[in-house]
Amino acid sequence: MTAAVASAQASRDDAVLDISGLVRHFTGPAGTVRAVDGVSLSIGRGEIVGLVGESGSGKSTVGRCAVRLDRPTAGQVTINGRDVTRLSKRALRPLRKDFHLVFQDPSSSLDPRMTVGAIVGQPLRLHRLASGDALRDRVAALLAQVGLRPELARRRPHELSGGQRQRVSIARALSVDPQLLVADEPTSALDVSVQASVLNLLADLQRERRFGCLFITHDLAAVEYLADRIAVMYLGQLVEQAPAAELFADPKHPYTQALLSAAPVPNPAAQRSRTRIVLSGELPSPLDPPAGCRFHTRCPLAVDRCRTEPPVLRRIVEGGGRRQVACHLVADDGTAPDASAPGDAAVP
Amino acid sequence: MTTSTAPPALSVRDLSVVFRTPTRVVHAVDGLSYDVAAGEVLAVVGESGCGKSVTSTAVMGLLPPTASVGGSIRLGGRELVGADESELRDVRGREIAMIFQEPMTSLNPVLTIGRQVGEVLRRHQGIGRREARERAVDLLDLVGIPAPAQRARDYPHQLSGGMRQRVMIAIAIACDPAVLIADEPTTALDVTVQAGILEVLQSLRERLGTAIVLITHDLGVVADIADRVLVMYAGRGVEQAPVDELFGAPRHPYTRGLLGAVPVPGRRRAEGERGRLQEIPGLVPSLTEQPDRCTFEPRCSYADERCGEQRPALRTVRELRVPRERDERREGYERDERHEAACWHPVPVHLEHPEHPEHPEHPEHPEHPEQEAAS
Repeated sequence: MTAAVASAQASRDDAVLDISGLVRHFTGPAGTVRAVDGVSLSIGRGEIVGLVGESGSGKSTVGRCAVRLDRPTAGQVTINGRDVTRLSKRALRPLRKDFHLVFQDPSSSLDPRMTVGAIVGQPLRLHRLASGDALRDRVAALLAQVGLRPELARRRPHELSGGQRQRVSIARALSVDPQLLVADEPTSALDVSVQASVLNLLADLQRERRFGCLFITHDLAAVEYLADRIAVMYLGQLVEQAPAAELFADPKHPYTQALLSAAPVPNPAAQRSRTRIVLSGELPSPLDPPAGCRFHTRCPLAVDRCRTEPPVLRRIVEGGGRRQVACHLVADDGTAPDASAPGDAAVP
Repeated sequence: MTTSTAPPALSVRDLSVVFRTPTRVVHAVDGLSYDVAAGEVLAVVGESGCGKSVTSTAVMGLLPPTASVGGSIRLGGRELVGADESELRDVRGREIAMIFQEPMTSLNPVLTIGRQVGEVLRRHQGIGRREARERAVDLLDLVGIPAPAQRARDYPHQLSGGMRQRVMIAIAIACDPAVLIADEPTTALDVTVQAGILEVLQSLRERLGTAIVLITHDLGVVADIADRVLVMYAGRGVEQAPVDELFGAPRHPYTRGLLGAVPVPGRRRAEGERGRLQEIPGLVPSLTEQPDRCTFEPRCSYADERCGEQRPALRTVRELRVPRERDERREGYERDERHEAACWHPVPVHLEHPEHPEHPEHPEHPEHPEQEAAS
């Protein structure tokens, strides 16, 4: 029932991106890597959704499937109400102006032989939206919008700093005014002061243009700053989803609790008084994910039920129905156990 | 700089590192000084290219021949600048050790990890193969590797990133060095794995009294583990203070810029909507010249004529007593510390960041810091 409710909510009409029951398996000689295993997520117009998780959680695969750089094994991806899950490359091409991806490493996602101006103008040319002087003007306007001087249009990527390159990728992604931007770790390769300016830029542009944004990151401070809503992934599945402020104030899922407690905050006094939940063991292999709840092998609170029965992502009463969590130990009203004090946990 | 009676485990004075190539000269480190005492964690922070890693590589004596090193690096009374290679080889691994950001490239892929840990012991302590093997298992246990006797037979590729970093730490501390330099030890790791590594470092300091120089760009990690912080900008030390003092009352405009650039969890919640993160305008200067002015001057909103003409020295802006609350062995003791900044116009303390309004460690903030700074 809960899955039905989730997908009913997900296919809201105003969603620019609607992912439902997404599965992506990679089969190789060693077996099948279950990178993404049943993820449902939707992003409304003008909404920034943060997708967080650690390496190997499958968050980038979700992002790649969302913009159809990768073909889902099962499930459905709908962009602006149009099902793009099975579309061929050719059929996708005219639609591509509606969704763009910004990668982590701008030096490998920008063609080193092209000038900045050609890079930023390329989507406009490919979609035949501008040419000649009109194209040049659009490029100049885009560069100005992302805070780059117009003369940089004649430079090549290697002549720019890391922050400038990331601004170029953002300008390219936004050149055709997409309704959906997927940003995969856009600030992770940058220094803190540069990171701040890129986060500010994304926030400003999003406020102006109201595109929907899937912001994929492992940086919890950045995601709290930028995202309206946050979804937490563990081993190919979503474990929790909530408005950003509520997730940070009161994480329900034991994994979310551990993740938030492990990220140090830049305040020594606060940092000293925090209790860190150190997870035992290692991330299990996505080749052979644990039965039951995938987090049970490392969960300080796991009970027998967790080892056999997989929890579904379900809506809880708290937070006005905007919160979802996949944990047997979280009650329907939102009462959650404290993963930092396993002894006190009440077993339902 | 610590003014306590114990001599520092590592003392760097006026260190300079210059790289010369036929086409250009790069002043990577320019007049840097710091001390680290036993059982203390000094965090060196700064952005890419500010000279953090070059400084540690110089301390380890691992710079390429194109680098010329000036100044003094004293390790337990022994001068390392100008020491010959055989002397340095003796010191490295035994008295000072280093761990790097990417453990996979620092480990030998064709040797078991037990062998690699044992090798250091055999080289420096002349013990036999079997004994080295037993000690290696103990060390793997010490750094929190589960089932260490079995894991000792594994090869690096069989371990996760976090476990490999633990192996690197085990190798680094095999001979119980007085000083451990950790260069971005958790940058490539996930936060839950990072938490475990920080705990290992914390316990080394507490149990073995290792002096740790932690190089990082992550201010959260600094807040978590450091006792004292040195902020570097363009090859120079610009501010140095005990950790609470630095975060609570940063005096150098660059330090303030860095702290303001980091999103602080909870700030957005408190303010209701997304405020702007502070940006530092402009770019890091190129290091090809060694200007006789403040290197931050072109980007600084406080700068005046003097900043463009005279180089500010690192000078004391406040003296304070700091509780040793992170050091269990000396609980209740205090030590004298200094807050130093290399700035002609240190930012007044009453302009403190709103997110650190209270300053419980030292409530006796001077009313007129400028007067004090003038001394």
